[in-house]
Amino acid sequence: MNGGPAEPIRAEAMLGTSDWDDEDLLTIAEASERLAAEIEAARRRIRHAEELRGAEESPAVGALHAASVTAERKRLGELMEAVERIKAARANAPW
Amino acid sequence: MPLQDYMQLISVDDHLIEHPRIWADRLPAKYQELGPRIVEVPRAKGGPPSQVWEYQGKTYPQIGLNAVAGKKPEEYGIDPSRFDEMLPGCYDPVQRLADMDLDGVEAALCFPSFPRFAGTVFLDGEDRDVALASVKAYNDFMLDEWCAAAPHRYIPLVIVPLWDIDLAVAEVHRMFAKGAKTIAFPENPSPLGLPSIHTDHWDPLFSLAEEYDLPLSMHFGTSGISPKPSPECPMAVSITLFGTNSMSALTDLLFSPVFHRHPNLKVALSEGGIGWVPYMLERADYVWERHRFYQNVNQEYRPSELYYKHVYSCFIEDHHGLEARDEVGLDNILWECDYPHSDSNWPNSRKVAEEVFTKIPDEDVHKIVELNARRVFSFPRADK
Repeated sequence: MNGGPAEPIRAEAMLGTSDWDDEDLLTIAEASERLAAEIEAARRRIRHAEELRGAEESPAVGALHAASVTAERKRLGELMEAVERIKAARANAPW
Repeated sequence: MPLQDYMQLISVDDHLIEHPRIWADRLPAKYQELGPRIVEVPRAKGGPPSQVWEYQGKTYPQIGLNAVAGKKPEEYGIDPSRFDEMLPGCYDPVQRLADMDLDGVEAALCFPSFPRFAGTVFLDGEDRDVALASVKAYNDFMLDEWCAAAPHRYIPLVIVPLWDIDLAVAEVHRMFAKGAKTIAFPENPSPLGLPSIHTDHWDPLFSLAEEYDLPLSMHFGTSGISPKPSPECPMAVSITLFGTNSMSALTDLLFSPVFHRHPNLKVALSEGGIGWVPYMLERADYVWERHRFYQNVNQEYRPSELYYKHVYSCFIEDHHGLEARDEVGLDNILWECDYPHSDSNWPNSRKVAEEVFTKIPDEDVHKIVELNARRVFSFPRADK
């Protein structure tokens, strides 16, 4: 401030530009990290569920663990397929 | 577990990245030079050149519109700016379906990127013939290529030539015949230099949207402005405040003649969040009760009545809003995913949704993630 009267800023100068989340595209590196993390988490969950198998107190709990392992294995397969699919598709990126 | 297997997730706010041949394949030869096309420009930091759009002699980043504001094209490239740096699901509708499968998402409504979320990039440039041809080419791509890859999984959103109401109406007729389900419209046309919603300028378009039951999808930011309280404030301030664009859009609509002239019009406020809705309705009703008498404001209907009848609010994650879901309106809430933006939880959207909806009754969850979207966008489940 120079001690003189304050000069108001034009209203339009107080506005930013827009359509902002264009800028925030998921990068291939970030997507790969997310997939790798999820693959690791699925493997961890499978190991954990397998460790619990056989130690169940009832057949019902055993069936639940078995179903959990099956579901996690399916998810793991899907994630690993996605890694390969994306790699193949990127090789054919347009342009 | 409230998110049951039979509930299908429908995201009403995803985005696509236009591949390089959208306009090259569809524009007449005489418009090819001025129409949108990809060109390569060197990056300031070296490496492979950025691929950017050129339209009517001006360059535009494919992505990073704000991140590059005021920068030279060679400085673009903070974010992925080449197709081989993107997930193929960004620009390939078949790859996108595989990404959605992995994410547990059944259907998606995709906004444009280079044309901006409401097609406002085509307000730029001197040549309106090229602009109109470019709008039509984008819409043809949306229906004939993108959505045609899986019509029961993509909700077709079209853009209109905003500079000419008669052309806009004609384009909606044309696209409705091809299967369009919703129209992208700016959250506020005034800052774009267009007539405001308080004039009768948009009546022919809104009447047609009513007649065809095409909701207006108003993505936040499509007015071309964003909140910036201080010149030096970090972008985090603007990003945090972006929901206020939807608050302004809603308030402007509720005190405008739009819903009185168009009693069957529907509006979806994309990405605006939901937690603020109860407060804004309370405030609007309070103002209406005390201040309507001396203003050009409808004297019969409370703003909140108009909201529940006409407006749909959309969210990615909003725990506060879900807590207040009865006041937001259980029939007025739509879920969104925002793929391929990094706000999305891909590839775990379904898992995150299971956690978000843990304490919410099944019936409510089903409305929020699927049934409301199917009703609002006239998008029934496909027979299998």
